[in-house]
Amino acid sequence: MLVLSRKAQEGVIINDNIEIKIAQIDGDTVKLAIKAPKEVSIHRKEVYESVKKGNEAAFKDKGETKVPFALVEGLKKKQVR
Amino acid sequence: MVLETNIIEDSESTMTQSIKEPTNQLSRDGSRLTLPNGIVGFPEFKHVEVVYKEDELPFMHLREINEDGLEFIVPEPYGHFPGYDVEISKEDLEQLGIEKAEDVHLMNIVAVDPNTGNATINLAAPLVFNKNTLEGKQVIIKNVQHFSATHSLNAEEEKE
Repeated sequence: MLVLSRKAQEGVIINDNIEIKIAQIDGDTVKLAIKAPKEVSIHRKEVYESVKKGNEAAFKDKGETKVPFALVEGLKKKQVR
Repeated sequence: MVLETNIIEDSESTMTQSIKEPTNQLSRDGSRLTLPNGIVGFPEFKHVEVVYKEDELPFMHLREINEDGLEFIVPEPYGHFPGYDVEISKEDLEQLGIEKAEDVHLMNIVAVDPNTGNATINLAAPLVFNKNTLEGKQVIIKNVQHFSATHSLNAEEEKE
């Protein structure tokens, strides 16, 4: 991980096409302005990590792909409402 | 049974439309779908298909089109979550070539705990597909704070 210090309004350029600027510093909160090509996804780290963990938990090993019967029944009941 | 799902664009460019949709053809006709960037944490999960067993409906499986590929449980998206209004950013919509809500097909990944049989569904990061191109990506919705990545599906719980 590259660590460097910037003051407000200073920035970094990544890969020639991604720019991160320190837009504002307010106490312990730093506001970042990020410019990147639209195919580059940008997420708050904790949100990304939680989605990744969720995907990992959802991955089914071959042979373990049966949907629990109770789940199907439960969802059917909800549908009927 | 028909429910509405609203797709709301980012505030900078507002496109708000409701879509009413019965069982979606995209899921049931054996379409092959592509996720050019895979999904979060699984960038190789690109060429996939939807398969299902009658007795497991409305749950289906999304799996890689190769021998030992990854597989996820996904329910048919519409009709289960009233008020599931997703806000998808303009960038994500553009990347998928989606111009209107009718072009969108959503799938949510279900995680089942093998020990307890409890299941949760990820409402915060649906798989968003363009029905015309059959391409999609996992999108972390903009109003992510309103929906859980681990929304419980257990029958005993009354959801609000």
